[in-house]
Amino acid sequence: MKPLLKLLASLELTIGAFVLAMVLILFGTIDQANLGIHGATEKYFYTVFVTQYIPAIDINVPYMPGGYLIGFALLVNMTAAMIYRFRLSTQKIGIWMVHLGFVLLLLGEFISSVFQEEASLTIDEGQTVDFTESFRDSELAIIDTTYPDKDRVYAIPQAMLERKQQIAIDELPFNISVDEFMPNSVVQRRNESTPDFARLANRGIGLQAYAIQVPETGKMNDRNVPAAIITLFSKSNGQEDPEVLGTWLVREFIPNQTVTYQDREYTILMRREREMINYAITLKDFSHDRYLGTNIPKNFSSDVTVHDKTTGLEQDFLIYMNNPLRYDDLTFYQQGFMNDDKTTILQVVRNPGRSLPYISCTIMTLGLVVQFGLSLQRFSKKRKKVAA
Amino acid sequence: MKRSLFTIIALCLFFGTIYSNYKRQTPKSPLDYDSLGKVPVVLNGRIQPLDSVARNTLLAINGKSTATYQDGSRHKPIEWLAEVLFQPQLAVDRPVFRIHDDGLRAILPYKEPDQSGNMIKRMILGSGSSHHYYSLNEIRTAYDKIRQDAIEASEIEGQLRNRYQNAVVNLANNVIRFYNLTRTVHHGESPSFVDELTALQTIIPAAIEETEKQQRGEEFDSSKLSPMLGFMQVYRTFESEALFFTHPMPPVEGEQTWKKMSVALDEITRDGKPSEITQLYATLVDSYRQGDAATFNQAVPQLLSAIESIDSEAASKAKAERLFNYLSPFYVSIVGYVIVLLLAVFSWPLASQGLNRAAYWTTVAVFAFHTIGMGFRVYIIDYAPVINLYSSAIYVGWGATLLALIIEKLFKNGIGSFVASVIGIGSLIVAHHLIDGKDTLEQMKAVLDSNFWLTVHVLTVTFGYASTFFAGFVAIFYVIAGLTTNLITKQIAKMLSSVVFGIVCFSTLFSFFGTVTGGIWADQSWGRFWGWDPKENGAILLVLWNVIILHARWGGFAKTRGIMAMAIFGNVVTSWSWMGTNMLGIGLHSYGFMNSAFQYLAGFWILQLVFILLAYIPQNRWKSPVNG
Repeated sequence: MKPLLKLLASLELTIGAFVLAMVLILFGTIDQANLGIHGATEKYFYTVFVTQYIPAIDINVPYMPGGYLIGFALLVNMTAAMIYRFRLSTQKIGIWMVHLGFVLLLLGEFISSVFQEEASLTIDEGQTVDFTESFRDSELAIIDTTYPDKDRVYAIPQAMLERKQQIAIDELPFNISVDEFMPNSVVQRRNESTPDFARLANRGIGLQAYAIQVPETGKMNDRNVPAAIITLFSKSNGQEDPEVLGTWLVREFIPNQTVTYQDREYTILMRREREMINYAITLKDFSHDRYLGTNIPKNFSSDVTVHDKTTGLEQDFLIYMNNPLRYDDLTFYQQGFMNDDKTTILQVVRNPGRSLPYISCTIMTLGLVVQFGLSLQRFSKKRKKVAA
Repeated sequence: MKRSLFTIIALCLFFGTIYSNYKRQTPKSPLDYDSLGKVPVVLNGRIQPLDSVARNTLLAINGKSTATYQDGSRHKPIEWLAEVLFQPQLAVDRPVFRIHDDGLRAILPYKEPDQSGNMIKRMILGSGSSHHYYSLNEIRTAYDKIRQDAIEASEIEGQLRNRYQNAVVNLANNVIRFYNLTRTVHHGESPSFVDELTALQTIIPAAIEETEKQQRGEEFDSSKLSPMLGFMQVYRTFESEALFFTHPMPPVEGEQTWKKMSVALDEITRDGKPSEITQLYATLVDSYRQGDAATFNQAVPQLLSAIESIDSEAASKAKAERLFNYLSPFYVSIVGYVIVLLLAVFSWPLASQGLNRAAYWTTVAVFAFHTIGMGFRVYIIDYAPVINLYSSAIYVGWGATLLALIIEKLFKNGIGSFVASVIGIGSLIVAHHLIDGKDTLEQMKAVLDSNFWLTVHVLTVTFGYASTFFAGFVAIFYVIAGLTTNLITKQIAKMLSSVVFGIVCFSTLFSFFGTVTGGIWADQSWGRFWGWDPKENGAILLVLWNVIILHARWGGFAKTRGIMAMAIFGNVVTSWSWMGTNMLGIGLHSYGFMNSAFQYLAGFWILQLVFILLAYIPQNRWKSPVNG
C-alpha cells in the first residue's frame, strides 16, 4: 500500500496536475471565442474528460482530462500528502491552512458547478411578478383558460420535449406527442416553395410559417430559441382509434395559439421555463443616470417592494450595482434594463455553496501570509548572522 | 562630497529634464495660451481643461502632440484648438487630419510628397509623410463618398473591418469631432459675437412684450418677434453639434450641472441679458479674430474666475490637470529611467560605488516623480490609480520600481536599479502606445464604479503582475549577464536566486489575494464567485504558475537555473493574463480591446522562450563563474 500512497502524496503529481490545469484553462479560455463562456465551461471545466466528437466512428473521444478529474486528482493528492508527508508543527501552520483552504475551495467550486442555478426576472414599472425565468431552458405551457377568473397552467419542461416522446397529463383530456424538437431555431414564411418536411403543422401559425433548426449558441448575449412540432390527440380508452386534434408549431416570440376541445379553451405556447417564488416583487421605479453629455451609464437602480405571500410582510428594497437583494435562498442582482428605462432585468441566483469560497479564501490568504511571514523572518535572521 | 558627486550630477540632469520639459509646453505667442488652457469645460462626462481637450483631440486626428500648418510652422495643441473654436474659417485649411491608408488617400486630392529640403537627407530618411496630412477643406471634396463608406463600414463589427474600412470610420469620426468643435463656442453665422449679443439685448425686450401680448390673445407686431425667432432657430440647431459644455450652473441640492453655449444663448431670449461667462467667451472670440492680444489676455483670467465663482472644484481640478499635462510625468519618467539604466550599467565594469549610489538615488527621484504623476490622476478623476489598461501599465512600472528599491536597499549592487529601469522604460512605452488617441482619464461604467473594489482587487492583482515581471526580469538578467559577463559570481547567483524565490512567494500572495477579491467582487455584483471569464482564467493561470514554481523548488525539481527559467516563463504567463486575454475580445473584462498589438505580444513571448533556451546553454560555457 505504501508505494501507492507515496505516489498519490507526491509533489510530482501536484505539479503534473497544476500543469494540466494550466493547459486546460488556456484551451478553455481560447475556445470561448467559438463556444461562448457557458459552452466552454461545460466542455472543459465541468466534465471528467474533454471529448471530441468524431463523426466517422460516431463516438466522443476523450483527449484531455477535464476540470473534475484534475480537481479530484488534486484533492486526493492533498489528502494523501496531509496523511503521509505533512508534519504537525507550529512552523507548518501556514502550510496546513493553505492546503485545507484549497480543499474547501475545490469542494466549493464543485458544489457551485452542480447546484448553482441562474435565472432572470424582468419587471416593468408598476408591474408585480412572482416567478423567475430560466436563462437557457424553455417549457411548453398549456393553459386552461376556460374560467375567466383563474387559469390552470400545465408546463412541460424542455428536458421532456427533447426526448420527443408522448406526454400524458391526467388532468388534460388529450395527449401530446412531440414530433420534432429543435434546440435552436429561426422562423421563415411558408409558401409554395416550402419543402414538404416543413409542412407538418396543419393548425395555427404553422400554416403561415415554419421553423428551421440552427446550431446552438453558447454566446453570452445570445440565447437559443427552441421550437417544436406537437400533435394533440384525444385519450382513447383502448377501443377506438384516438381522434387527432391537429399539429401545431410552437416557438417563443410567435403569437399564442388556442385550441378548443370538449368545451374547454386551451392556450398553447412555448416560453422560458418559469419557477414560482413564494413572494411577489413589484417594481416601483427604475432609474438610470448617465455621465453628462455621454451614454456611459453612471448608475442604474431598481426600487422594488417585496410582498411575502406566507407572512404577508411587505418590504422596500433598492437594488443597484454592487448592491443586490438577498431574499430567502435567492439573490437578485441588477443586470440590465430595456424598454426606454421602464423595464428592469434582474439576475436571480441560487447557490447553496455561496459562502464556501469566502471561508476557504480567507483561510488560504491567512495561511500564505503566515507562511511567507515565517520565511521572511528566517531570511532576515540569516542576513543578520551573515552581517555579524 | 566626492562620494556623492555622481549622485548630484545625475539628480541635476533629471530635474533639468523636468524643468525643460515644463518650459517647452508654453506656446510662443502674445496671446495668453497658458491661462486659456486652464479654462474648465465638460467633455466625455468629466471636467477637463481646454488644454486636455486640445491635446486629446489633436492626438486623435493628427497622431501627434503638435500641429504643422500649411506654411510648415508648428503649433501647440492649445493654439490649434483656439483657432478651431474661435476662428474656424482659418482652421479648416490646416492640414491636421492624418491619413495613412493608401486607399483612402486615393479618393482625396493628390498631394505631392515633400520635395523640398536637402536631397541627401531625403534619400536617407525618405520623403517624409507630409503628404499624409489633409485639411478639412481638402477632405470636403470627397466627403460624400467618405460618409457613405463610413456608414457601410460601421455596420461591420470592429474586428472584421479591413484596413480601409477602419480608416474611413476613423476619419469620418474625426471630421465630425472637428466640425462639432467649430460649433461649440460660436456658430460662426455672424462676424462678431459681441455685436450679436448687443443686438440680441436690444431686440429682446420688445420681442418679449409682443410674446406676452400674443399669449394674452391680443394683437401683436410679428415684425418685432421674427428677429428673435431667427436667433432662436440658429441656437437650437447648434445645440446638438456642440462638443463640450461651457457653462457651470449654480448647484441645485448639491448636484452640479453644466450647460452648452447654445443653451446659454437661448436663455438670453428669456432673461434679456447674457451671463458673464457668455459675455467673456464672446470677448475672447472677437479679440481672437481681431488679433487684439491685450483684450484677449484680460478676458481669459476673468473667464477663469467667473467659472471658479460658480464651480470652484472644477476650476482647481482643471488647473491641476493642465499642470499634469505640462509636467508630463510619465514621459519624463522614461528619460529618468534611461539615466538610471546607464548609471547602473556603467557602475559594474568601473566597479564604481559612486555610480551605484547615483543609480539608486536617481531611481528614488524617478519613482517619486512617477508617484506624483499617478497622484495627479487620482486627484483629477477621483478613482483608484488603475482604471484601464493604460493606467495598469503605468502601475506595473511603478510597482516593479518599488520592489527594486527594496531589493537595492538590501543588496546595494545596482541590479535592482537596473531591472527597475528596464521594466520602467518598457511599461511606460507600452502605456504610451495604449493611449491610441483616446482620453485615458475616463469615467467608469456603473458596474466598475466602486473605488473600494478597484483598490482592493485591481491594485493587488496588478501588483501581482508587477512582481512576477520583476522576478522574470531578474532571471533574464541572471541569464544574460551570466552568459556574457563575469559579473555573476557564485555569491551573486545565490543572491539572485533568493531574490527571485522571495519575489515569487510575494507575487503568489498578491495574485492569489487579487484573484480572490475579484471573485468576491463578482459575487457581489453578478452573483457568481467564479465564472471562467477570460480575465479570471488569466489571473488563475498566473497563480498556478507561481504555485508550480514554489512546489518545484520545495520538491527539489528545480535548482537555481530551473527556477530562473521558470521565472522567465512567468513573463509569458503574466503578459497573457494582462494583455492577451483582452485581445480575445470576449468576456466581461474585455475593456480596451486591441487587435493590432497581438504581433508585439507574440514577439515578446518568442523572446522569452529564447531567454529560456539561453539559460540551458551548459554553464561551463558561461563567462560568469556561476558555480564558483
